[in-house]
Amino acid sequence: MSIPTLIDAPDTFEVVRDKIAAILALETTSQQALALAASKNPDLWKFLVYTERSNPWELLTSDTDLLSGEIRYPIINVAYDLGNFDYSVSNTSSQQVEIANYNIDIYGSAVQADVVAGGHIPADLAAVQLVHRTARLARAILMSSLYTYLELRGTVWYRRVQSKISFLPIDAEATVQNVKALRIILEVKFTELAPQAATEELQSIFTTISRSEDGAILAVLDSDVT
Amino acid sequence: MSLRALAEADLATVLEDEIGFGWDITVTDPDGNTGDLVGMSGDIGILIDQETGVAVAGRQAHVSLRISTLASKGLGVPVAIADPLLKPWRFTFKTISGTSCTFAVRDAMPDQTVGIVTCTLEHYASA
Repeated sequence: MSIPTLIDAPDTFEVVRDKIAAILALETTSQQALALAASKNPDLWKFLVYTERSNPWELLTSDTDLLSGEIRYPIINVAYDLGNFDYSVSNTSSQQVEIANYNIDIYGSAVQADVVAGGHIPADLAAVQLVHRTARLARAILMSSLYTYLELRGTVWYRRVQSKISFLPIDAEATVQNVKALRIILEVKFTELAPQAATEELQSIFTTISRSEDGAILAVLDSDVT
Repeated sequence: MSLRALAEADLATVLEDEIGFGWDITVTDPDGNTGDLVGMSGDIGILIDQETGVAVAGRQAHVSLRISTLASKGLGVPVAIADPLLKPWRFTFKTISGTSCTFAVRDAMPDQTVGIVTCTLEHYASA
């Protein structure tokens, strides 16, 4: 005997990851529109969103942009990291509750830039400022009350920022661009389901619950007893 | 002439020979003084991950210049400039395909034994 149905739908942990990315992608577009309406530079609210890219920051080290002068927007990569199951609120048959960590990795790069009035903009400082600004946006978006359940109410129990850690991408210090990064670890608790065995009806039992005129609760059983 | 002085003199062949690997480099100091030199330059697209030893993508650029030639052009020894109120040391040279690129000093490593200064570079964007 085997599972009769094809397991074709994504698990909740995949849905949550994609939802986090979708929320960030939606909000960067929305924030840019709001910035334009406020007569501010929308590029300051723009970032690119990826999921499960093992080396997303490589996009920042491509040198073609430097030659053409194209703006490099910061990158956010959403990746599932780990999940622990809470069996105090799970069962072994139909649904398990997982507490998962998602890495919201923010990458930004900058180059030294000339200042006409004098001096220059240091690349390391500019890169960190870019990363911190993007991290600010990401945290504010994901912790907004609009996304308390990541638009998955009934599946997601909660989401919360567990920690924030700055880190350097591998060997980023030695490159002509200054690449800096920061990780927001988002903890999400959600329900995972599993294929269920087909049930066999053993016996139907119908019970009608009513209240009598004197307030007593009456239960009338309607059952075929064989 | 001592061997050490001979080594420094040999830099004319090692670093500044355009028939060899010498390359035209324009140097600009923080005060805006410029000089055209011939030196060694590199612009590669590969890094070695120090933890795993695996090659990864990443652009690294560097120059190596003769200190005495810099002095003869009225320029000092390049250093990394942290003060944002100052301009950094800048180097402009072409890629092998002829595209001109401008870089600024990230780290400078002068060797006063033989008279070479090697600088790792960062890309420098004009205003």
